[in-house]
Amino acid sequence: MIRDIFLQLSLRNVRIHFLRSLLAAVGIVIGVIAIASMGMMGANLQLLLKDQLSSNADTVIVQPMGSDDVYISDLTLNRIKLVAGQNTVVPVYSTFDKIGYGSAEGMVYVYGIDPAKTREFLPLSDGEYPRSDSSVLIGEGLVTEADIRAGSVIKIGDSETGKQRTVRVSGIVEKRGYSFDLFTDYSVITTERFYEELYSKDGEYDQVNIIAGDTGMIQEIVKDLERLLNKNRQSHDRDYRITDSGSQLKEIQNELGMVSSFVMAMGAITLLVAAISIFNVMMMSVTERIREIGILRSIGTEKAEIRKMFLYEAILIGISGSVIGAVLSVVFGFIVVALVVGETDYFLSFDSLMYVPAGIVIGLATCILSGIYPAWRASNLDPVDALASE
Amino acid sequence: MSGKKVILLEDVYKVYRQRFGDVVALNGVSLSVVEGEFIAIMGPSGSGKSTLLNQLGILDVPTSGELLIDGHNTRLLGDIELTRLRRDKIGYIFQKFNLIPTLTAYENVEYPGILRNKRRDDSGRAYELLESVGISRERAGHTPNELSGGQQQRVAIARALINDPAILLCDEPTGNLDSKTGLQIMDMLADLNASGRTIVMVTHDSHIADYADRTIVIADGRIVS
Repeated sequence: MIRDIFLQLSLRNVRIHFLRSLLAAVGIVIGVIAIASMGMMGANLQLLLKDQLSSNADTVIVQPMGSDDVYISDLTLNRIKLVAGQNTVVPVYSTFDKIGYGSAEGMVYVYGIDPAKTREFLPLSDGEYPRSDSSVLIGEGLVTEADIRAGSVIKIGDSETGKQRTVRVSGIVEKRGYSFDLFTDYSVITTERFYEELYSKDGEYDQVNIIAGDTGMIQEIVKDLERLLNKNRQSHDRDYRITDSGSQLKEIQNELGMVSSFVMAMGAITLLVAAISIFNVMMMSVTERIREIGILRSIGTEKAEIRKMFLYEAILIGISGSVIGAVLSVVFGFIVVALVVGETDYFLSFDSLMYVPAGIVIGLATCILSGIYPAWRASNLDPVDALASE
Repeated sequence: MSGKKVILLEDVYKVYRQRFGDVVALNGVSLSVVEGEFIAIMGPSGSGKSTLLNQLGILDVPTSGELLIDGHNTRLLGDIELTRLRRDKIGYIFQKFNLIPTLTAYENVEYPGILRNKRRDDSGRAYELLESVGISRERAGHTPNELSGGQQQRVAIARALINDPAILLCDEPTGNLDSKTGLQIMDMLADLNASGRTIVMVTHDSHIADYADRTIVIADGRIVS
């Protein structure tokens, strides 16, 4: 049995106006779901990217700035090698082209990399590294999407617009996700020589990766490259984009932060609407119970006790709405994360699940704030006028 | 009667300020009620009866003049003290019973006791009072809308007595009851007065006023007899 008579009165009043109170609580449920699941989505995306980017935290990439016709020449490559010293330098050709497997066709990234270098930074999950120029590696994404396997024969290139070659898949590159150096999951990695022959290239690279043996050297390499290649010019005036995973992560986090703030702001609007509905329900409750408030005051109920009674009502709506919203936000959050992020490994982490209690607190605070004015109004009614009301 | 003054009004004015001019509801009322007295207040509507009852019930304070309830000057007290004085010294019985609709009869009686003691009643006093006004334990579990008018007024009397008040204020206590039930309620009030309880009752029914030791007639905000 509830000992607090004011809580008892609030509870019974909520029960009498169950539908009205329920609808007000539904507003809070939706608001909490919106805020918590969007927060969780943002957190999961960040955690995933952070993890995947830190898997190549030892890499610096150099890309030419500007239009598609800009490449990294042999001269620039030699300067990069000079800065890199003992560290591995991987010149990369890349393009977007058609591949065919059986009757299926699709557009993928095609990379051309020296096979000796490929071994150093692209571990395989199946098969072996190419032994000849007619063998290629593919990413795991193509295995799941197109059922291409080690040993399969595929076509690269478009016979109508250029050359087309038939190659054998010798191995599958391990899944790497949103790695910033190469998007290997949905790509074909050919040898350098094969790429040069197919696309008529000779030393005009699209990108150069520097794999540092020691991550502590990253900043120094970036600084030296900026000086040598960009002459320390302002960002809009640079010839090359020099990126490491740390700066890449920061950039992505900034963008993600903006996106999740925006989405959470939409959740906040939902809560604002819920707050207005609760305010309305509470004002109705006060208006309907003016006479009761008059009775309570006339037999010795203090203003603070009247306030308490109405705040309890707002809190009851708030607790039920927030708790139901929190439970549902775990379900909705999981679905959103699975659909949008595509990876639920981080769902149960603190950074992700903390949005559930945060949602409860925000939902409850919204209810209490909406209840303050109606409670204050109820407590300040003149007992004589209130008693006289019908 | 001990002669102790539980109510003392000295030259009390109540003026309502309105845009079109002041309305003087009480115009220099002086009155004293000693402990154990049973007083009836009569007067036509608009005479100031209700305003006077609101002053005695500490729901309102005089514009000027002194009003002492059981020795406490109401003009000197803030809202919290006035509320506590009302809770501890006044038992209110209304024409429309004014029970709290969401509470059972028992809880209605218990309620002012909870306000005073800040805890639920475990002494059984609420049940004793209900039994003394003729409400059984079984009836006590019902909410007001499940009770007859007479039963509701009995519950209201039990509620008014729970904090052992110095004064019982009755505002037309039989106004909403049939004559037989009304007489039962009046007999109950007369018994309470006989056992020493001070009662101030507003009525427009002279037969009901006959129960009182003294009848005060009020007109145009003044006591006329």
